[in-house]
Amino acid sequence: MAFRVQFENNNEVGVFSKLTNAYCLVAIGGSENFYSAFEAELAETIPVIHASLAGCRIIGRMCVGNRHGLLVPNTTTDTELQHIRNSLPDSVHVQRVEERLSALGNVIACNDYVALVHPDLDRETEEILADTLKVEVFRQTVASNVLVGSYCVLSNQGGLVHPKTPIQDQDELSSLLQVPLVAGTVNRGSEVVAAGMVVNDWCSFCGMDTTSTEIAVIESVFKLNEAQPSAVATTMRASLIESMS
Amino acid sequence: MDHQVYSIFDEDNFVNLTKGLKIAQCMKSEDDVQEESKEVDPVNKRMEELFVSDKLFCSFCNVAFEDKFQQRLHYKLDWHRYNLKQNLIGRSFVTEEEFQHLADDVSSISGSETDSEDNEENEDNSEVSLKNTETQNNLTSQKLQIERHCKVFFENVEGKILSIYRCVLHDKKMGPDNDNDLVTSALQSIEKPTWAVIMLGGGHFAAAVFQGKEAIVHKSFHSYTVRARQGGAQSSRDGRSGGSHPKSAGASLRRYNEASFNQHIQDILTEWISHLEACSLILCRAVGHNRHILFGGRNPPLSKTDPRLRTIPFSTRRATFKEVQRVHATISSLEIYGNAKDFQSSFPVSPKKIKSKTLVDRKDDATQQSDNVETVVAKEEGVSAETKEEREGRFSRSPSQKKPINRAKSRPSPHRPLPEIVTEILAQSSPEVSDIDDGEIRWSGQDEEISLQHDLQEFEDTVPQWVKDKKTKKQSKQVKKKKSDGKDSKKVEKCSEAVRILRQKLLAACKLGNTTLLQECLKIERNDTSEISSEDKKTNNSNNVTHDELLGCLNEHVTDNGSTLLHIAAENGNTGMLRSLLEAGCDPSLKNKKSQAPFAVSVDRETRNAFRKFMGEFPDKYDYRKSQIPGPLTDEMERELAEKQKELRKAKRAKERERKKEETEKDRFLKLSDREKRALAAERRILESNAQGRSNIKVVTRCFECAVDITGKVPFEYDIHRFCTMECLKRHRQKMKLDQK
Repeated sequence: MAFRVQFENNNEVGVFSKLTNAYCLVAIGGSENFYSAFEAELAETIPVIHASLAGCRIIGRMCVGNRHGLLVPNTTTDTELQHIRNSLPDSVHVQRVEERLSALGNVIACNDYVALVHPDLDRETEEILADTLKVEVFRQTVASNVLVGSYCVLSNQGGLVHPKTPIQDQDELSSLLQVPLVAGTVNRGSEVVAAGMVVNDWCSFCGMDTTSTEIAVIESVFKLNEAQPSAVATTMRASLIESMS
Repeated sequence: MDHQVYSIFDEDNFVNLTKGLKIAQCMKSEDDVQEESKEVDPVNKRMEELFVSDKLFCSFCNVAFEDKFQQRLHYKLDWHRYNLKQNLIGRSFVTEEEFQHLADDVSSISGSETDSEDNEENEDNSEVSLKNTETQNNLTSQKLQIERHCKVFFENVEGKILSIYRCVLHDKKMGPDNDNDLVTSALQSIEKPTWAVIMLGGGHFAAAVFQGKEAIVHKSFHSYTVRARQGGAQSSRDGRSGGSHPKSAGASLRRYNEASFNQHIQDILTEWISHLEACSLILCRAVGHNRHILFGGRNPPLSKTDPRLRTIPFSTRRATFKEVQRVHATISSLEIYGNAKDFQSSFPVSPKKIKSKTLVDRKDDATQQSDNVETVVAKEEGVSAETKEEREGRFSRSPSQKKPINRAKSRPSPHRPLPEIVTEILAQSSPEVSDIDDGEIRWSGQDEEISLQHDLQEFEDTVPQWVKDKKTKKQSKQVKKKKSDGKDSKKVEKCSEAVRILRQKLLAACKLGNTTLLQECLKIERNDTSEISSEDKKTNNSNNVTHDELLGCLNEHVTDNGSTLLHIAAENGNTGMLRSLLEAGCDPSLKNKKSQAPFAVSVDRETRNAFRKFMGEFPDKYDYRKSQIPGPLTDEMERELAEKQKELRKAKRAKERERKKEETEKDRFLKLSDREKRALAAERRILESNAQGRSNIKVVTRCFECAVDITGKVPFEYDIHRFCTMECLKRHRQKMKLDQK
């Protein structure tokens, strides 16, 4: 299911939150509405954590993670790191990385198996990425943009890329990542898709401006309609009702 | 290309030309095209497309893969990364072989440097595949260009392209819904011939209302409002300076003029209000604060939201009636460009970015390139084939000449030839030195060369010699390693062997105090140097040890505590050896690890004097300031010193004699009896009283023998006689004995 949310009147929800299959990080903000929206949807399945990185609220662009781990930039303070470690499940490894391109969320796009990275990312960071997040790392661009993390959203089910990605590139990327890809927008035509939305395998949050067409595309490519945690109520419904009657 | 200009208001021509008018193919907006092609719901279509592609190909590197594994591997390669970067800066890909070749040259493949590789062949290969996409790109960019063009292009029934200014057809904000609207508004334009043109700026005002081609009313005037030389209106100057307005006569004049200028314009426009209301178009040019005159104030003469209002879509000159007429004529013109195909090929495109410059077919390029989209159409008619060729030449050259430089990133410094003076100097110096021009700098080798010819003195510096020596040793080792050619290395080895032996000999001689051995060593050397000076320099190759090498040996720190040969000699107190070492060239200012000079470790005065004597003899041979030697010692100084000492000794001896005398006197006094002591005391008292009373009696007692005054002294006595000395006493007794006989 895809939800429309807003962070203090700002639609770039991907900037202020980080959603994975094992946890959800939410920026510390003045209003709790944003947090509540995530908690209402996710609290039963995964922890939703208030966090800041290096004193900033733009956590979604600063860190990168999946269900195996979380990478934070080296500007993260010790207390912040400790707080995140304490709040996350033990199975998630948190690692601080020394990387020149410190907005890790902008330069890395990943799901639980593969990662696309900025062509200039450090070799060392690439190794840490592969070890901590247990992903295979590919250097690639999306629609001639090196900021693959900003212009590409990936989940294990599918991916949304920059609207101007050529079909040829989409095919190659899809073949490389082994997920279906669609070129699309969020927030009424914003091409910075990763800033406008967050997604995991069963749930997505996008900016309040996102049109219903955009939502439809998102739900279809990330297979959000079929793969809910509460699949019992939808896909198994027919058989259940039949047996009960 | 034919290019004719008609006015919209020529009724006959207009009707003829606009027969069967439709929007030119190149103008058609994409929405229309899309509408025609597909009516499917985009979302549904996308959903159908959802699948994981199995395309095993990388378009950045133009390489196909056999399996998934190979594909995954490829995206981690530097080659792929390099091609990504190439793609980002608009260059074509390089093949794997080429990349291997490049990687050998380029140390970092970060792509920051703009290498000037000549991938001509590469282009030829890739051209075929890229041509299609390129032409497509050209078309789309051209289309964009046309859509934004200030003119709208139509095609009439004869298939000819004609253009009308967009501002005649519709407002900028309220664009036409579709292309048919454009056509109808173009056809209607002739029915609404009343236009107003208003221009103002820089104190000039010109306005006219036209009915067709004729001006019904017009007015133009000028007033002095612009500040001479500084430029800008007086009001804007006043606004900038805050509270303090200039109070000069000129300033107030301009201020007044500005106010009256505004008033005047508003008066004129209110006067013309009936004419203006009849107008179907109001073209105006008023920039900056001039806009305020037309649209500001309490009762603005024109409304900002007036749908008839248009800005003039090209640059204009000073606002005069003539210029107003020109503007009207230009905007009301209808231009005809011949048939569609010709037009398409010659449509002006603003210069492209680097991206496709090298790849675009050059003939097309040359015709497409032009500078100013707005003006070119009007001017293009006169462009002859010659100028086109010129342009072609320019653009064919341009890719190699112009390269974008990213100044934010570090670039390798370009290779520049040395200035002429430097090359001349290099040529003049010895051939070995000039041989070194392959970029490899052999510093230490060059040093040796120079020191052979000139006797270089060491610079005064604070670094202890043994530290420097360590460095030079390291360097010399490196040099040895570097030089692997046959002759050179042999020579060096030979020399070093001889030097090593010499060094051992010298050390042994100094330690044992064996002066003869030392002399022998030094003698060999002297012979060598004389040979060098007498014969050709080339013979020094045959000699075992050069003068410099010997000097090096002599001034080396030979022991663990950093002592030199001189230190050893001074410690042993061997002055002869010291002397010969100093003469041979041992520097007395070299210090050991305790930073003691040889002078300071000298065992005795003689040794120290040997140093000082040497300093006296050769005051210029070394720099003695660091040698801790207090001063020179010459023969003359030595003699003077000896004399002084003699005198001192004499004085001392005299003093001693006196002291002894006094002592004997004391002894004698002590041996006297009390009566005699008392008598003596009485005598002295008398003497004292005499001295005070100034009496004539000076002598109380005299020597019995020689009649010397012995008043107040301890006399020698026998019987009753008193004598001055024992001699007198003896003489008297002998005399008495003779008398008795």
